[in-house]
Amino acid sequence: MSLRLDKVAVRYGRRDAVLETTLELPCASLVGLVGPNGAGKSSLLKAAAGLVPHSGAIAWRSKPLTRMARLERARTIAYLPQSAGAHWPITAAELVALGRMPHLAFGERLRAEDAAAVEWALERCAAGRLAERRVDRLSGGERARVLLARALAVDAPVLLVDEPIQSLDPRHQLNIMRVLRECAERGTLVVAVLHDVALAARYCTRIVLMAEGRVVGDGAPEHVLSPAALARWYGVEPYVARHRGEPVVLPWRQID
Amino acid sequence: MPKRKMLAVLAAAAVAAALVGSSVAMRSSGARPGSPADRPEVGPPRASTTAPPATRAGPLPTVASINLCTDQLVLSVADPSQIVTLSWLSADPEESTLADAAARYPLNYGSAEEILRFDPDIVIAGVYTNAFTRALLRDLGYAVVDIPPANALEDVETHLRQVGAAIGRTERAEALIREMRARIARHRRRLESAAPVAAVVVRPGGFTVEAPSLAHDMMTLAGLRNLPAEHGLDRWGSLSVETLLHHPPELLVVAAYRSDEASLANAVLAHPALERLAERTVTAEVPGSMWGCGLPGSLDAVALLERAADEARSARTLRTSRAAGGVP
Amino acid sequence: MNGAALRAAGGTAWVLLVPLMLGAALLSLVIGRTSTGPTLGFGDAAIAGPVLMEIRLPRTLLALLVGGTLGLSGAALQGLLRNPLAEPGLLGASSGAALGAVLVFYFGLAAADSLVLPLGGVAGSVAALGLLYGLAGRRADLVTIVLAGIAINALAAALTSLALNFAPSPYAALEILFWMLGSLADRSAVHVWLALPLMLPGWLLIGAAARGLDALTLGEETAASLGFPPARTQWLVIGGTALSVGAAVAVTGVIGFVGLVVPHMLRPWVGHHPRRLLAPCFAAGAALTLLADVAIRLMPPGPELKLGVVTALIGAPFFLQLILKHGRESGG
Repeated sequence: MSLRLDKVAVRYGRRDAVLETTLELPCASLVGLVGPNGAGKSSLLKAAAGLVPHSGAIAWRSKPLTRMARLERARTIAYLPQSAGAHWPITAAELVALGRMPHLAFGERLRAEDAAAVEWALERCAAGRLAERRVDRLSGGERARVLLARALAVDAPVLLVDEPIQSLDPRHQLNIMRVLRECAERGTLVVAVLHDVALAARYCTRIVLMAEGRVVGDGAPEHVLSPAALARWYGVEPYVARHRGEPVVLPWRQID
Repeated sequence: MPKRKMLAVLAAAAVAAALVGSSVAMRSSGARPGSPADRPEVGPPRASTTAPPATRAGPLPTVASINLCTDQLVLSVADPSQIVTLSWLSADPEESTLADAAARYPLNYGSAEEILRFDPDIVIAGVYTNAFTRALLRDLGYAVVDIPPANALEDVETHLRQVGAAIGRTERAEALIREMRARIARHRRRLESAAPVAAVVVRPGGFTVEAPSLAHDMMTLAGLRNLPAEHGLDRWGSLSVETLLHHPPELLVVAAYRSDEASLANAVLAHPALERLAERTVTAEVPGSMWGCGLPGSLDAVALLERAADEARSARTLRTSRAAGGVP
Repeated sequence: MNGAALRAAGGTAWVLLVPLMLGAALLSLVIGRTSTGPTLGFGDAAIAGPVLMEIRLPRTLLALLVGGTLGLSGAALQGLLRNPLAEPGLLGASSGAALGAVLVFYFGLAAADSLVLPLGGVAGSVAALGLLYGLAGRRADLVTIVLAGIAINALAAALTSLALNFAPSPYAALEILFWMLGSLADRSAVHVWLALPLMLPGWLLIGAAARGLDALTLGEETAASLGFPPARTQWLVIGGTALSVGAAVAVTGVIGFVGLVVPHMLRPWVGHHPRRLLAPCFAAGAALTLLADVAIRLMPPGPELKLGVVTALIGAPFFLQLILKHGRESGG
């Protein structure tokens, strides 16, 4: 069971954001999509989510996404955008419940299984006690957890998240990464665009490094995020170590 | 999902029902048993004539009027016992020359429900009276006669005949027409012996008299040359003050309308150039209500204009004699 | 579970809204207006039938349908634009309809038969929609659509003034101006049947967009990922609004502020989910319009006040208060 991207390219007007890319992403993994700014990470993710037009084919379990009905596709791929928010002052529980929409038909109300999924998603993201709180009154970290819970509530086999931990303080960053890792361990394919090399190295089971629109590294974090790669693509020299059995990759010094 | 299908079927049924209902309603509207066939036609507005409804034999049909001009036509032509209601504007002296007469009757504000309660045999309206009201009255089975605004003095005759025919007062209408013709003939005779006077009429809002129009005919009959019309006017007859300065008139006629009330329309009349012109020109005032509708009484305005023309002629004679000889 | 609590609150809204709407409709049926002022009942036996069936009933039905349309489309537009200050007139459907009707006057088609007037209005609103589609394009984002709507409104207003300038007579111009102020007076059953075939599909289109509106709460990208592409929701709401509001305006003239005010009144009860607001806003819009129309009939004797004027008198202060609150909350 995998998500296969076959010669996928994304072009905005005359600019090539992503050059022909072929990737096979199996389920039960946390894939970190990393790279410098403008590498095309978000564009590739959006193409997989069906949000931007692209050439090439994307298939889940050998079924092309274009051949799926709208709601079937929505149940297959859950997406959490970078700048997510809620426009109306609804409660966290109501917001998470919106994630169940792909499972409901026209005019159908939330069923017991949907309510259960909402509760489960909130618990997973340690946001259970936020359920009745208004979303616009939550702190940044709380809101990020609630929004992630919404994505989890879809209960899709593929979860795509775009920079889920930006502007969060360290505690919440670790929290979210932990949740994503747990999702992957339960069988979901999680693809996360990440800027934080250290966290990507630590939590992801696989790293796809992109630069200038193409994949320049693909594999285990220690191999892809090598000092040579970081020097070449990020222009930094890292501090590399191991702590309690987990890799530590910290960008340390700027290379001129 | 069965729910979805059910909703779709309901929706389709509702749309179908609506379309069927609309076609049925449109076909059957206006065809009411016992009412005169009054099929609306498409085309430029024109008066529709219907024969007096075959109702109570003997007494004349009762009539309601919902338009200022038709109110006054009805007041002129109808027998007082026929008139059931007139519009409220006709009792306002600023609007109507027959305000006192109109005030004796119940007044209406032009809605179909009011007319329904008065239950006249025939309704007279203007072609620009609320189209919805007229259509609804026709749907309710009333005979509605539409009278257009008068654009010439001859139109007054036509309208008098139309109203007379509609309410069974053809003799009265013809009598009024004969009277009018006699008066017009008298005015025309005077024209032969008097030189026309160049005049400008100033109306609220900066309008003047366009040609052809009822007011233009009235001016001509009174021996006045309509200066702005000779020098070209825009579509609605807006007065160009500049034209006035190039071609100063011998007579300035001000159509007074609600002059004691503050209004932008009247403020236009206070243009400094106009005021200076008024100081050195013979000026006359004619009530606005006399210009508004085409009535036999419109000839009263002609008489007023005639007197003003005489004044202007004597002023002209004075000027030319001063210029020629010296001060006597 | 909060869902249950909210459903209960929404239920309370219906318990109040349905009787309010029906009560207002009943008032609209029994209260009339004559030369001497407001009247109760239908007059004597001879005219009672026509008064009820030909005058009161069509007017009541039309108030219900038009008011409901305005409330519904207001809720849909506020959901679509994620802005509580949105109104049906925004897209140009109202001004397009008004222009269409005015042009019918100009060519002299309307004076002979009042049916042609609404048909012209509907053509105008459909033309405005076509122009919006052409300007904004199929994949346009909301900002482009709003700007196109502003452009269309400006164009329609200019063309309307131009047409007024060329009106056949000052009386025609006056008639047009009064019509544009919005009124339900002396409309007949024919107008109900004329507007309904276009209003109904309009409502259905808006209804089809309901879930998409909920999805848009989380932004356009999330909505697309949930299976509700914003473009689809957008055009459903726009098409539905143009059809239903265009038909309404074509028959009654421009009645404003109902679509703005009604969703705000209901949000404290029904919640903020756009989908849940749609049906209650229909009922509340109908009730509000009916009550405003009844209020007109209760005025002292004189020419009847225009409905559009009354709704503006209610709506404009409400709108001002909204803006003030909005400004205060965003740190003004």
